[in-house]
Amino acid sequence: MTGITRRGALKLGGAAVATPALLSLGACSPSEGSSGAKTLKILQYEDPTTPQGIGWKRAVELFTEKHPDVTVDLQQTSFDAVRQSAKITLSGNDVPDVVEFNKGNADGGQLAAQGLLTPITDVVAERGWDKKITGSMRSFAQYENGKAGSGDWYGVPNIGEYVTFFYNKELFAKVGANQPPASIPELEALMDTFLAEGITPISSSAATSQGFNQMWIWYSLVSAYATRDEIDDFMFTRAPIDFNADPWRKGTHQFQEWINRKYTGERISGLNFEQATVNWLSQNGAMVMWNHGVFTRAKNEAEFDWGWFTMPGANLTMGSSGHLLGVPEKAKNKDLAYDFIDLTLSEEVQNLIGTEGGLAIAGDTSLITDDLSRAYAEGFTPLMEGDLLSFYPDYPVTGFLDFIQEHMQKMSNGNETADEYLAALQKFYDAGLGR
Amino acid sequence: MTASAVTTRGGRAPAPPRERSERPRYWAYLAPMAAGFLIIVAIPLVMNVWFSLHNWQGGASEMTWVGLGNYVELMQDPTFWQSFRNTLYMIVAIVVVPTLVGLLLASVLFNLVAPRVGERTAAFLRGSYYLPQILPIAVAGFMWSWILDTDGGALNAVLTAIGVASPPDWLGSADVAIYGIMLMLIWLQLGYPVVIFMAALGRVDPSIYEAADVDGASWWSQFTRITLPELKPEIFIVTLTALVGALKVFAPILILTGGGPEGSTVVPSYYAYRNFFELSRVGYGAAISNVMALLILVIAIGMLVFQRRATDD
Repeated sequence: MTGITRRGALKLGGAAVATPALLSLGACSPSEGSSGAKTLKILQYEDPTTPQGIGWKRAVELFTEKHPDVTVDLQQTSFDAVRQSAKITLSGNDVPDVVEFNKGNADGGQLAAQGLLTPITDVVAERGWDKKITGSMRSFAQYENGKAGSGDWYGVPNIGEYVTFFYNKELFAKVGANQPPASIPELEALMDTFLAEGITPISSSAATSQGFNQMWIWYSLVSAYATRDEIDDFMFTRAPIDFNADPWRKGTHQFQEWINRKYTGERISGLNFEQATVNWLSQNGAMVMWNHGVFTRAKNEAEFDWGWFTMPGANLTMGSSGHLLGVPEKAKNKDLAYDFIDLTLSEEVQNLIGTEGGLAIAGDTSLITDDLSRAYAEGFTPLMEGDLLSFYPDYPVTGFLDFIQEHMQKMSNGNETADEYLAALQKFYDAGLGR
Repeated sequence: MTASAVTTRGGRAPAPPRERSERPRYWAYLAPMAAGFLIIVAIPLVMNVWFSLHNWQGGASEMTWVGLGNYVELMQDPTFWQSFRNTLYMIVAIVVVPTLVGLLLASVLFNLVAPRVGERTAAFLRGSYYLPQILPIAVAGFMWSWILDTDGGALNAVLTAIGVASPPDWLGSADVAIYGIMLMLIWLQLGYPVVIFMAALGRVDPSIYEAADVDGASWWSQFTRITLPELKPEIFIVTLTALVGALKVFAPILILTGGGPEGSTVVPSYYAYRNFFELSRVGYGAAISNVMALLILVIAIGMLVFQRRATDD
């Protein structure tokens, strides 16, 4: 038989080996026609209708204008698929040239430590990306031995995000609150008023998968009392953490108080963030705590007057850079990949992302014509520039997300006290460092 | 497709000399199956055992030899034992209840509904019971997450309507979530025994039932004296396949609860997956899979031996 058939047979044989090992990867097929024209392969998981998705589509257009001889293959996958199989995808022989991945020691850190991503420190300096990405926006782009916060650059974020309360202005007005509370005690007094009126103050969730609202409320309370150093010690595992001391103790005990007083509603351990969002949008809760996801939803769907505010009087606010674009170590077209990433940070694309409602890292907020989007972006800029973001709590150690979720459920169901949670947290975190 | 690839490979293997006896040639016909077994079963199994003897984060990271360390840790892991306890619940929901109810339903449909109401009604009902089996599990899972939803779910709406003051928090309470999953699994599994048992009843000589009718035997005594003994082989097969299914259950857990709330619904295969993919503890995840594979093998062999003895008697 001919050589083609034999190659086909080998491919099929390979597929047969891969299938039982659950390696169903979309990116496995070799790019055809590699002999002549080049193909830039980008593996990413942003919904094409989101600001970042729209921005990257424009970046692809700009790239094609610049490199008419290169075909761009913008592959769409899912966040979970990359989280779970990036190690396998990137260690294969047919890897994408640009890959989007989650930040944090558990994800980006591992990929970097395992040599699957190209260190791009020189490129970052050469192309001036470090001028655009500064402070806490940069923290999770750099990894040293898999730990974020310093070392070589392995990826570049395009956007930032922050976690705020979104509130129903009409329900607020109903209890006589015409503006957001200015401090946590004021917020608590307001929530008592809501309860007296039979309104759930905060629509929340704690399901194992995607029920992250409780975790974000808890960590926002911890962040409210934390200093920059305390958060960085925890996040970048720089120094031993005593979870039985403040801000952990204060924030967690207050969180338990909130659960006990039913501020976050009842029977939420089976709900996910989508259900919590829908509950808020259908006015079954005065507030919901989330990031830009709810901003976009509310803008499109809310049938009431709404606004947002960060945890009142907080030292630090939960938030971070967005997911990262990196270049796999085995990528074939690295220079083209850098060109593409450069375009995503260009003025045109960044401003487009901003105009579409995304929190562009290097955009000019004054160019945003939509009032709501501009106000939302302007709320973020001082946090970014003042280095006041506390990141997400699940970054420091592998498996932290599931662990925290399990305990959020226990606390929300009244099966665990704040002290028990803090003790478990201490144990898991310390064990995670040793791994 | 795999088979054709394998054939090509097998065909390229050195052929036995022509002058030799006919006997070795038969081995050439076995080659495709042997290669398939090697590629799909044997090699991954051996690799999995190899992984389980190491600490490994996957990908290009370093593998450290730990011998039986992962297995030792596993034996002391409370979550692993919890997952085993949950397997007992899975066996009730996938093996015990559907097989018993399936037997009754099949008998009612075959001996009562078909002759008295009509063949078509019986066929329609049989098809309806089987419907959940052909639904994609993702669809069924999401449907059940709506049914079991605490606030707006169909089940709790019914319970409230019939006067239950505080219906359970099906997927949110660690005490009841496993029962919520069991409900879905019973619904999912029921059609399988019904279809098998009805087909089996078709091969039972109708004159036995007719004779019993003439003698005035009730439906119940026909069920216990004729149906059950005649259906022994099918009951055995259904029990064996369902038992293996119960030990491997994965997708419903992933979709409905993700092992939660509070880790109360974790099952071995989900726990293996979580270690393997989410916690990057590849060796540990592989160890869990191997223990499960061994257990299933032992149970299956045990049941086959038991059945052979039973039929020999």
